[in-house]
Amino acid sequence: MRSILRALDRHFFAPERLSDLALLRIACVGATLLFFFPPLSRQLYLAQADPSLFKPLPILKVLLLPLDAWGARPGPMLLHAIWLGASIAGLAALVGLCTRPALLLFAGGNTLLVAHRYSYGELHHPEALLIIALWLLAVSPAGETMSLDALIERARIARHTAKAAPAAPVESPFARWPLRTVQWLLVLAYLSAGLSKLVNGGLDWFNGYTLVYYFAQDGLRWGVPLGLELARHPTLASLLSVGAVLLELTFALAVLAPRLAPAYVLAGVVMHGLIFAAQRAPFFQYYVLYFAFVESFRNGWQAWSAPMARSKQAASAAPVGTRLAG
Amino acid sequence: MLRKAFAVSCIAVVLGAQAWTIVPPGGRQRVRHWPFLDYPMYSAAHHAGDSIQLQELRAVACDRSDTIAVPASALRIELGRYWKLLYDLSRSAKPDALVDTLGRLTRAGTRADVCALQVWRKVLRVEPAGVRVEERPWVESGEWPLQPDTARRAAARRP
Repeated sequence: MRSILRALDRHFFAPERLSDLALLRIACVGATLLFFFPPLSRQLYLAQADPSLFKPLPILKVLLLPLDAWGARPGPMLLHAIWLGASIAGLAALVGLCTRPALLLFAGGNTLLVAHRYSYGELHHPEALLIIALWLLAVSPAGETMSLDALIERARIARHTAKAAPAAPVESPFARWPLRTVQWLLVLAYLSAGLSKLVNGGLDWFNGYTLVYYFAQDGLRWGVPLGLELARHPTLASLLSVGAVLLELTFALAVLAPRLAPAYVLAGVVMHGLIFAAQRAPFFQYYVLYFAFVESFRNGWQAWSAPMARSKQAASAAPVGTRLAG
Repeated sequence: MLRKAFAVSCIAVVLGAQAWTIVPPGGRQRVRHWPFLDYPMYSAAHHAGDSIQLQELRAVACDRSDTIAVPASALRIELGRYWKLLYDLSRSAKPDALVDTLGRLTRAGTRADVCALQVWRKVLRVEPAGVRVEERPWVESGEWPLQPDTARRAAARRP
């Protein structure tokens, strides 16, 4: 039991570069601001929808409680204020100014706006994990480096001690757990997708006709030529379905065997890209969450580039005669 | 120590809630609280011979001169919600409440004098060689009369 706890402690709290966590902050906040932030026009449009359609999600009720009655529907003015406040907080969180409160406000505002969007009877999946990741970043040391906060702190210390500013700490035992939690969230989401197919569809899910059906359905709904073309090839669809479920069920290996992480992440990028191209299901938020695997990518790159650099060095250090003979 | 305890609590709550949603312990019924979701999309299996149905709402003008296609955007609702409403309307034994809601949304969205709603359907079949999307006809699958829009009529009669 103790050895399991020790292993879990190492897994979540071994020292990790703060810059890896900061990179995840910049990726998540930057991408949310640029691509995934709920458009104000959509929020105001929904605010005018028929009141009978409004079925508030529990989290919307909770987040609105300090501002309005339990279960109240937010009006256009309030939505406007939340949208503006969250945008400003997002910019501050991106550059790392008052990072923690900014991240908390950004995560809160973003959660509220997306929850409002999904309080009209329709609920989609792509934003969910990114929203959870924003909350995790808000309670982590994500602003301790690559931030204005860090620069200001160093300048302040340098001014008080009249010495050169000390270097910011490179690693922290608290930098790893948010990255690991995001990694495991991805594993659980993929596992859910894979297991659902096995439980609900069984082996028939791989017959090719299943994916052909979905390609045709979404291709027609969204007017996607690639989906309609793929719908004509059951054998290819069968191969794609085996690949997709294999990736989903074994994604845990990306965390447990970090050397495999780059391959899994690249496969995930291809899978979500193809799903979007053929079915218009946009899971690009996962591309951002893949930044949680940055350490595995760095280690992989170092392992791959170090022997090459050594052999280059050896080649340049060898005497001219040997080089010519070689 | 406190900081670590807080971090451990966050990990336990987040991963615990996510795992609980995906595999509810003791075989309980699944309860989803966004953003903690399970991911069962596209998990049903399909076979050769299965059909794909597309549905569309159309509004019948009161003078029966024309039908107007009413897409989800005209009703100001999301596409998934739109399909669910049409699906429920086609299968409901007592569709009055649904007809009332859709009628209200249609009149507001199209600003037309509408007296009936229709659901039209297009059906494709999964063949052994996949799905060939040649032009299939839209077929009317049902019509539901609407209660008169008294407010609009009164406004029209006013000089």
